[in-house]
Order: sequence, then structure tokens, then C-alpha cells
Amino acid sequence: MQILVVDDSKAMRSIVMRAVRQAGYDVTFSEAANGAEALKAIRSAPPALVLADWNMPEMSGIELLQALRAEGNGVKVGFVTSETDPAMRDLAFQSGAAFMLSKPFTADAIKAALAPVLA
Amino acid sequence: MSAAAGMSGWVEELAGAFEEVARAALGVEAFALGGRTESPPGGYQGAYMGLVAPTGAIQIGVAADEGGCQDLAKRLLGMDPTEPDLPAAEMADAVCEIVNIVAGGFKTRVRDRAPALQMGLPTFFRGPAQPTEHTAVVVAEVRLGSMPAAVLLVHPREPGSS
Repeated sequence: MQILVVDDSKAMRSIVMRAVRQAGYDVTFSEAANGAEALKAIRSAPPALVLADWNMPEMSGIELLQALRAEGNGVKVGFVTSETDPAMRDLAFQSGAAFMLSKPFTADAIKAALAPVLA
Repeated sequence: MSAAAGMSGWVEELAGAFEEVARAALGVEAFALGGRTESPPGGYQGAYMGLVAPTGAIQIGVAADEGGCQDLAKRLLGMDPTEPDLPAAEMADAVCEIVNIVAGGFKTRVRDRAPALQMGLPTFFRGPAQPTEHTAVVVAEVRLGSMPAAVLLVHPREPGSS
């Protein structure tokens, strides 16, 4: 099972990957630094799950999700973001997000977010 | 959010958001809020992020000296502080991510006063922010354990202030 981690921060990608491993998932990771890079990667090799930041240069996380849905791609997308605005949360779920996990997150929170998605 | 609305208490909210991140993501147990100044100590570096609303914009920052920024970055990455220093770019990336997370908490804390704040992308800087005719700088000194650091708020001056 492959997870694509999308964040413009290398540090945050590293933290997310470590947290997923620590949650007990035996997965492989690929990485992208923004939504545009992720879109190309998903088109060529769809992962089981995309873990995306919200605010990124070139193409944001929500723009990535909306672009995927617009082309009929139903890959699961969860947000890992410091955005806490309720309107953005609503937009994420209306656009088809699987979950929205706030930074900083705990090990329990990432387990709870991933469990229904990767079951 | 407007200059006339006043910025009283905002830097304390910023320090509070930093404390939450320090405790939850950086493994800091002792956090103390110190005094307020208009400029951080010399030699500080750190990350800024713009927060924009229809009525104006502010910038928030997290800063420390070189060793302090290394410490913050290593803590975020789950490294031991005694491990070799990170390359400058990786340290800057991690400190930018810290201010990004702090910004989320800060937005939540000031939502009743500024409901439409939009987060920008963080930028690493060296040296202090300078007040101008139109912008003021408020710095709150903090201590994470024994490590001094600071949070910075750059905001529009209220009309008639100097």
C-alpha cells in the first residue's frame, strides 16, 4: 500500500511519514512538494491515500482535491493542516476529503484518522 | 481586523499559540512569557507568516538565535538536541513549519476579532523586523525551558500613533 505525502515542508513530510509508521501501518511512501507535483504523481501511479497540506505554493491541497474530482479521480485524500477555519473544513468535506487532521497532531489522532480510511 | 480596532492582547495570543505548539509538538515542558519590546534581541533569526484579512494584514513571527533555531528544528523533527546541527535549509524549513502551525492556533484564538484571516506561506529571515511609519512591531520574549526565543507581531499602526 502506498501513501503520497504532499507538503511544501520537507520537515513536515518527514513528520507525517514517521507518524504513520508509528501508528503501525506497513506502507510505502512517495512525496510531493505541492499540489501540482502530486497531481502528476497520482495520474501516473495512484496511491491508496493522499495526505495533503492545505497551504502550498503553485497548487494548494484543496485545489489538488478539486482537480482530482473534476477529472473523475476518486483517490482518498486526507488533509493534514494547520488551517482551523470551519469554512475551510466544510469546503474540504464538500469537495470529498476523507478527513481533516489539525497540526500539531497526536499519535492517537492520526491513528483515528487513518483507521477508517485504510481499513 | 483594522488598525483602529486595536491590537491589545494579540501578541499574548500569539505567545499562547506558540506555547501550545511548543508543548504539543516540540516536547517543551516549561514555557514562560517574558516582557514586551519593539525589537527582538540582536542576532535573532526565525520565520514570518503573513495573515491577510479584507481590512488589512499582519505578520507573525517566531525567532531565536542560531542555536535556538537549531533546537526548535530538531525538536520538531524528533531529534535529540545533542545531535549534529541540521543544514541551514533544513533548519529554516522546520522553523517555517513551526510558524505555520503556530499561525493555525493563533487564527483560532483571534477568530472572534478577525474571522476572515487567510494564511500565507512562511518565510525565513535573519535580523529583526523594523517598524515603519505605517507598521509597528511588538515582540514578546519567551523561554522554552532555558532557551530564550521571541514571538513577533507586525501590524498596521493605529491612526495618530507614532
